Amino acid sequence: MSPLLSISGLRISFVQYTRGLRRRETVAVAGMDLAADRGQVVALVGASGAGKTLLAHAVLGMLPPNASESGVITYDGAVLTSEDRRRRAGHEIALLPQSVDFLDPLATIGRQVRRSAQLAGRPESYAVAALADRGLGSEVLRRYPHELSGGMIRRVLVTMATMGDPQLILADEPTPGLPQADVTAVLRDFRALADDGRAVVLITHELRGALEVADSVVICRDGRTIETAAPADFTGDGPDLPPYSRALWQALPGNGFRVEQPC
Amino acid sequence: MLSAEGLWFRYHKRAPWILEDLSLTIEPGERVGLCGPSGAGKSTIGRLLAGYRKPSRGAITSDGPVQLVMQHPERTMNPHWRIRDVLAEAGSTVDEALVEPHWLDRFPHELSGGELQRVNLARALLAEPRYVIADEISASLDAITQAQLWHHLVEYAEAHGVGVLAISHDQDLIAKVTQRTHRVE
Repeated sequence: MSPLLSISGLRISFVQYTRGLRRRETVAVAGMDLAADRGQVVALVGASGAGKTLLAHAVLGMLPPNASESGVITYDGAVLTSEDRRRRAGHEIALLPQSVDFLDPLATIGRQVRRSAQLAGRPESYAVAALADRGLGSEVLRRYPHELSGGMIRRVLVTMATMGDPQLILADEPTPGLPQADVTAVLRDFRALADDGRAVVLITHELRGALEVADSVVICRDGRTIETAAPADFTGDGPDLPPYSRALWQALPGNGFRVEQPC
Repeated sequence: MLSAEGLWFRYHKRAPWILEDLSLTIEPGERVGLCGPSGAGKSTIGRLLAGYRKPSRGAITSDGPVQLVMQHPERTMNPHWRIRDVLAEAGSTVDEALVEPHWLDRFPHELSGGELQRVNLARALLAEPRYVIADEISASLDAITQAQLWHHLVEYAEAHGVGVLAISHDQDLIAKVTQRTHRVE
């Protein structure tokens, strides 16, 4: 059986016009493969600018109009056309966006959460209950985004992203800027969502956090996925890791801070 | 010595205080880590020490130039200038260990984030600073590029007696590259 989400040979480029009509093509994603099945957390790890966010936006049909894409994305065994993607986005497939700026700064949390419940076809009371499930009381409903801590905002975003009971969740850099306790809580949320039978793709540049919850780690670099590794192999000097993963592991400040390039 | 004494800072008269009575010193050749939760004012301290902003109260004194290196190099460069011109603002003898010669004719967006941060650091060091404030300079980089960048900065600082203030949320990194840590809450 094919996994819930399967991406192979994804390539994304942008066409730009500079100085009048001079056309220029920039390749942002040069070749990415990734598979995530129900019950799994798959971490996509790589530096900023490696194209991780674009992969998530492609799955949701959110790429800008000047992007061109090739490769195959399948969901539940069938190829996802651009209409499929837009139709499933927010229902079967959900994105947890990277930036807290995705919330409206001028609307209360209550209004935004009720709106997302409505879009997902749920009663408003469901929104309040869903927030309470994530440890946020009803007093949060009257507050504005800037009145919440980074950790609380993350929980609001997780609540909104899971409102439509998605089967596939793509979480884009959900932990930067959070205190360690909140990071752990957010990552455990993802583990629990996967354990309930969903597929979770965790996009991050923090290898250590990914290792705590992921079933497999896909490493990307310069727009390509180059290696897939098992979290258990990230131990000691990483003797069983593929070469670039091992170099990344050994370069962490806590693991020797070494800079040998594998290539 | 780079010294901050009794620094208070807020953006305007009715705004809340971001810094309250902060004091901090860095000796030449010394590397100090600055840690604390987000919103504690770490980047504000860096900006004040480098002279980007004036403290509301308190004094900063330094026995030499201070350079600030920030997390996002692309925001600190003119996007229409080639790397050669970006560096020429600070000096002419480019360190080839940091900047590869074939980058010089490119524009900032034609380099990767890691390459551009090396250019950014090279530019700061060309100005021959006595102190370098490194504000999350490797937070957007992969671990290998992070290690390269820091090895270079530490070697340079040791060779030239430059003081470094390393601002980062990564405790392991701070422990590795600095000799002592100053915590802010």
